[in-house]
Amino acid sequence: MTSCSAEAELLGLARQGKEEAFLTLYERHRDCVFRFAYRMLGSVQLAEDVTHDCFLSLIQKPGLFDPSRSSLQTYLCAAARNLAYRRMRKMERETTVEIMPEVEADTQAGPLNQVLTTELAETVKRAVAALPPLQREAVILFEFEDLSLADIAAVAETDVGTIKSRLHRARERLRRLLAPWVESEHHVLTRGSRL
Amino acid sequence: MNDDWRAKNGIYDADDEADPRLRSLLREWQAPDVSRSLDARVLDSYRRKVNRQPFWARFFTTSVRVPLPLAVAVMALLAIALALAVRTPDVGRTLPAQHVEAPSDEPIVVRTNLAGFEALEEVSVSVVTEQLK
Repeated sequence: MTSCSAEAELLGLARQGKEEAFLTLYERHRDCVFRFAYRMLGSVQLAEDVTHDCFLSLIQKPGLFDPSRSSLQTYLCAAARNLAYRRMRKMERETTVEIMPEVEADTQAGPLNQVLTTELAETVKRAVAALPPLQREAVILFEFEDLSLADIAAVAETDVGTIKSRLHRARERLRRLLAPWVESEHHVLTRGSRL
Repeated sequence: MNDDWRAKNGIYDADDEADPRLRSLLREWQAPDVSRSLDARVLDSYRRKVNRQPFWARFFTTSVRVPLPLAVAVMALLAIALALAVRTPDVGRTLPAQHVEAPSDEPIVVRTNLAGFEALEEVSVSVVTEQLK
């Protein structure tokens, strides 16, 4: 809770025009918000728009964040989620795999590993994008961003049981979609080869 | 089956633990880094928000873009309204007195009052046509 109150204090200073306070908060949370938005929407441009609007809403709508109810990270993820869903509805699509940029290959690995890594990343990207949005957000926040089930429930405005259910279904689906990779254990080899 | 019911009955308990194999596979998909252009954009927007002028200052300095046809129409209406307001109105101007001859020999009552007026008990109306006259 101490970090929550410290962040609330920084936010108060940021609203008063203290640029350093705003930058501290922005640099602390921007990566998480951007990655979450990117994995939800599949577009760098849209993820940047969501991240921008998310941080601006902190200044524009000061009453929305209540430090006694949630951490700033949870609040920002919830704001990013709402903005992402709004954009999804606006564009009438749920997956944007086509406009995703190419995944950067690991240049330190050999040519074969580069190809395999890129192919694997592409497969994972498509598998995650194929999930229904509610399952996708649960997987992204749990598997990629390491949020607790309680925090994910707060972001998604639901209960922990529902999040467990969504995660369970998402994992089942992902295991099915990624079955060849899971079974071949190729990813373990490629990860090991980088060490 | 209801998700909450299943969760409450521990059906997903085994799933609470992350699947390390699946997790390592998923993490092969790396998100790109935040671009410098986004940092600059966010900072610029922040500066514009916090350095916002008070309402009265914005009221006197803010400009509004109006389509030319609309502006011309508004100006024309204002000009017409001004012209009508400036013109001297006819209403209320006193006309010179005129002498009017009555067509009958009988005196014309021009001024009366109700002093000594008594209401009739019965009123009978008879219509006399021109021929009976």
